[in-house]
Amino acid sequence: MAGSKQIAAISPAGCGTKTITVPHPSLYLRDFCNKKGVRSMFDNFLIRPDSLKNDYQNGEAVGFQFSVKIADYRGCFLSLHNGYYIECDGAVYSRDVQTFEVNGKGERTFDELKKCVWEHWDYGTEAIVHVKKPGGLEAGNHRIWLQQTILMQYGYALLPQLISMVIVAYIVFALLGNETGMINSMLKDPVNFYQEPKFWPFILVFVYIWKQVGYNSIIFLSAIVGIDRRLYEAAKVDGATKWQQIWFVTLPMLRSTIITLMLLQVGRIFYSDFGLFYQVPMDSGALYDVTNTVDTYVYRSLMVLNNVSIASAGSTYQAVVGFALVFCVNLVVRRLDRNNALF
Amino acid sequence: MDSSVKSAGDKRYQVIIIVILSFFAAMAILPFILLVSSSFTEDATLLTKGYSFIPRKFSAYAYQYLFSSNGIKIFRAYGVTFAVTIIGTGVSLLIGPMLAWTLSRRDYKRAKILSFMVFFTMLFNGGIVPSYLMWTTVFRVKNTLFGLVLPSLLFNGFYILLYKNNFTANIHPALVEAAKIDGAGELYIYFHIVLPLSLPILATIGLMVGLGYWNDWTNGLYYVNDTHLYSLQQFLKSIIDNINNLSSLSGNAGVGEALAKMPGSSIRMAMAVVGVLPVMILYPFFQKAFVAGIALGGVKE
Repeated sequence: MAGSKQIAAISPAGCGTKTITVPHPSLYLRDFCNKKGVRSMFDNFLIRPDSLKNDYQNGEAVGFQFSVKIADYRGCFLSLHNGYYIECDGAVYSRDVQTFEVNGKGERTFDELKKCVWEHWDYGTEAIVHVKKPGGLEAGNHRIWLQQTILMQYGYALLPQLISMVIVAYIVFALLGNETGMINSMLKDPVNFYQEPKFWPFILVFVYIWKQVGYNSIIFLSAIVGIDRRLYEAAKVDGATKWQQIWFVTLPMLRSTIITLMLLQVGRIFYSDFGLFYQVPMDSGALYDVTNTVDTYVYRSLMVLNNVSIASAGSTYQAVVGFALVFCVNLVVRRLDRNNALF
Repeated sequence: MDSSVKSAGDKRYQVIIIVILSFFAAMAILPFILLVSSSFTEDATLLTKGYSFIPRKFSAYAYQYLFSSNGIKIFRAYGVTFAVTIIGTGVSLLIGPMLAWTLSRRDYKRAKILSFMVFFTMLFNGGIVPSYLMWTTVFRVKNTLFGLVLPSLLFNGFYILLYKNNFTANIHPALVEAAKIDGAGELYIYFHIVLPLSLPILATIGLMVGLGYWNDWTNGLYYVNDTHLYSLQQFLKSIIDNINNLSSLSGNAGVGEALAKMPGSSIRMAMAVVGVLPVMILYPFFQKAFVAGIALGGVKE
């Protein structure tokens, strides 16, 4: 998608080895169960078992074809394809004899695909790889080794998740700093953010969402790919638009995931994100009214005021009430959906 | 598949979705651009005109400062962080799966009570005060490298749970039985059968543990006062703390002078860049394992 970064490096997106039997006239896989490893993120194969066929032109076999899926769980743009490593019965078929058929647009060479910058190969969509080989394959066993290589395409939405709260605090300071902050240099009346408690509930929520959105989207993504594709097919047959598919298929199917995640967050309400509340407001005394949580309170009692008894009291309170809350929430979650319960 | 046949509604949908996703992508990446660009801006410009996405006056002075002799501290902090990350990840990968393997064994009678002890502490533990007292008075890790490694090492039931689930699902008891009949000892089974079969999960969890150590500043906050042992994150934090303390005292005699001696804004930003740089460079290579790790965790802890 737009905005995601493209890095020119070759990644072996996945590979698959298949032993194939070819009875005349169609070919099929004899043993598609592959013991070694996962082939694509959510399926365990790249090549569809019964897809091997000879290509015919004027009644003569001119090559063979098989259907593949994309190994990358997000799918990718066709321009990122560079041809595949295809080995069949020991013979290697180079990119020059390969053509690629996807999205119902007929066969295209990989040179043509390089230009398809905006055409996406969706996850779960099957493509057909055609390989030119005069005479085609004979009936019998065939072993195809396919290595799917695509240029890597990376979304940096996960990046905020990877950095520490200290760095986040630096970034927030660059935005909100008193005289030099980005926002203050745009405002006519500079606001001293680090002395104004009223903004911080919003700032902290925003920073937290900013940091977590990539992470949460992966959790939801893994739930979304678990939805039965046939539901979407059925919806399409009934004439549902994409919006309607989201509204009437995706969201209802995600219901239990959403509720569970929310309940678990509510259950952890006593355990705040220490870094968020301690680092991001820069430990500014003027903001304690809105940024002091049990965690920061305990920390300050212990390390700054050296009052161990107050600190342990706070800590114990947090542990007991927090656990009671998690326990109750878990009971509710278990009622809703046993699989999502913590215990 | 008929996904190539797009109706007008689908096209509109795609435009809207691209706009929304571009917005999200921009939100994720822009703060980093701000960070990098301000580290390349001249300090005086930064003070008078403020931060901006494009350097108003380009200057690499901040990086010169960092890599000259003035910046020896940051290399030290780098060294500490590297050491802690490598030792912590290594030891964690050594002992974590061992515990999980024990818990996953059906022929171990006390597995149930032991599992309870490990996993119950994920939900209910004494919090920071008892652990602080334990680590400082019993184990005396204060101001040692151990203080940065040990506390988070033995404190993560979540990874043990992931290992354990993986072992239960992927390593069949018959495999262990067969090895035993062939005369393999427990250690041989663990190192030659269990671990090689679990490489993907080891890679995924090792990555998360390593990232955790790299980004960790809480251990430093609690267990290290000695500036020689500051990790990168703690070093960054200490600098911004000093600046804040000094600016809150501004007006007092001598404070202005001390403030002037502090690293300027662009240098601070350059340090933050240096702090995230290894993660940003390595990110494309470990992204896949990282994503797999999150999907594996499912519900976050």
